[in-house]
Amino acid sequence: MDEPELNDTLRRAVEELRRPVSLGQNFAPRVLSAARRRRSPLAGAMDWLLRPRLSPLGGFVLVGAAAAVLLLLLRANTPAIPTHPVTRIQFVLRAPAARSVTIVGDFNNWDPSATPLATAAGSGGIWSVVVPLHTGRHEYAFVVDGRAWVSDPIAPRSTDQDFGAPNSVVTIS
Amino acid sequence: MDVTDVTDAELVAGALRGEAAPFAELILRHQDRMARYAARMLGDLRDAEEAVQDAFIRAHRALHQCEAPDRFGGWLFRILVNRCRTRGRRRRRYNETFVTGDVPVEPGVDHTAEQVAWREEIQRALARLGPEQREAFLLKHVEELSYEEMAQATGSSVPALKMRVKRACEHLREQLAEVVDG
Amino acid sequence: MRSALQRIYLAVGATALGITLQAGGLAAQDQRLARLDAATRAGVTVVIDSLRAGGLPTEPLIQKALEGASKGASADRIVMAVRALGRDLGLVHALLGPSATEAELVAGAAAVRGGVAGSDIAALARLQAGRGLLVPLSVLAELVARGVPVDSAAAAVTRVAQRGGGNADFNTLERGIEHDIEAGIPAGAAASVRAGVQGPPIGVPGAVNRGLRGRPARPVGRP
Repeated sequence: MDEPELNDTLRRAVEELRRPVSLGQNFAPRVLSAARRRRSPLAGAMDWLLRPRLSPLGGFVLVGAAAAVLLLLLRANTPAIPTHPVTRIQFVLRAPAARSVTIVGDFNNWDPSATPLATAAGSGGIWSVVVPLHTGRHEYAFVVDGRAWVSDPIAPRSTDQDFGAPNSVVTIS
Repeated sequence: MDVTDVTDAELVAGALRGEAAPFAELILRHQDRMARYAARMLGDLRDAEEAVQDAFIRAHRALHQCEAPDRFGGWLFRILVNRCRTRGRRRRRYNETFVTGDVPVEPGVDHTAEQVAWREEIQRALARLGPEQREAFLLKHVEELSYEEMAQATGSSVPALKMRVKRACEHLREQLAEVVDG
Repeated sequence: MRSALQRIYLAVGATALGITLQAGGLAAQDQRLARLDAATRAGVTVVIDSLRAGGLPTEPLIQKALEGASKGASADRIVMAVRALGRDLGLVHALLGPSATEAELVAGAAAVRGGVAGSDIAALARLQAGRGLLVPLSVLAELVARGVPVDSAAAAVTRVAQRGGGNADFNTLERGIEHDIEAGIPAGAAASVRAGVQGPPIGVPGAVNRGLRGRPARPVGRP
């Protein structure tokens, strides 16, 4: 910094201006959602779904300010049930030390083995999966290493806690 | 393995393969610094958020044009500087009022009346600068870029930037002195 | 015309009747419930049959039971949770009428579970007639879950509905409130302010003044 240009008052002002401004963890999903919507539909999702992945991670430690990113990919009509629009949602959880991550919710009968997330080398322990969801309000949670139920750190929480930890919520309109 | 072990270049490579997660990490890594610049430049938190979002979307789309992925941050900042310029110009076309009522408020920051007033005076003084001077001042003294980095981010020459920073400092000193002296 | 309150009593009464009738499951049992032990399955089936008889969707109840089973909850707890959800769905169904979609009922039940009054939901339904209730009800539930006092949350959502807001406006409201809460502003105040300053559409003078302290934007010499 060229200090001579700054007197005490200006230095105080600069200190104030350097204070961090946080957009919060909800910001990333919004950006990804918007970025995806402007791309050709399906392309990115299919890349993501079809890519083989390896997990280089061991141990279970959810690292600090973990971010889960929930990404609205695109809307499409399923040929099988044409009256039910389906939206593909990408769920992302950052869990660098996890060996496995699955998602459970009212879209897979809360089956911890039904919907595993995948991770890729070099992704920094970011796990992801795309799930087609019907219109509605859906509750879900992540299961890490088959035993720890983890809510999505950036998604809204459910209003009930019938069975302990609150679920996360995604609404598809 | 900690996520901080992964370099920007590795994340860029992952994002170029079409994966969303590495780009998510890039956003998380850079968003707050970008938000600070945009918030100070535009004086409005929601405008800033939109500018930052716009910059990330453009970066996502143009990622294959990022020639030096290890300097992704600088490349991204150049996009943001442009987005803030565009947004500032557009706003002037529609409304000549520079909004000072939405000075960014951060968690954990002192919100006493005196502190809030001081923060607003700074933002108002910044708003009174021309956009080029404001931009140069923020890049130099708040974001602490070198003049060479500033030249890359703005496309202006180093001498021109030095002049803008000098003028900006003079104006700000003058305006804030009035506040301090009452 | 039957009042909303009467309809609620009828709906809740129908649920209670279903419970007393149980009689070994009127409906064919869903295969997925095989994951529950016999006692839990019996208790859950009663509620499911009752709601089905009342023309209400039963999938949310099945999912609630499966959630409990996956989380290793006790039989009592699962049955209680399913009953509570059945009761809330019945209440919302009575408030919204037969045209309500399953998604709206689920969102409404979540709002009720958060403490939102039936009268607020009914008022919202009147304002949103023909425009869909899924998003406003869901936003309402999420705001309450986020710590916004029920009255403030209901007032904020209602205000957007009164202005004829669309789904994007409800989402913007939620985003704004979340943003303010993260910035350290009390949840109730954030809801009041966000609901109060969203009036003029973009492009109208004053629309960009989003000062959080109620101070008008001041024009300055040079932007």
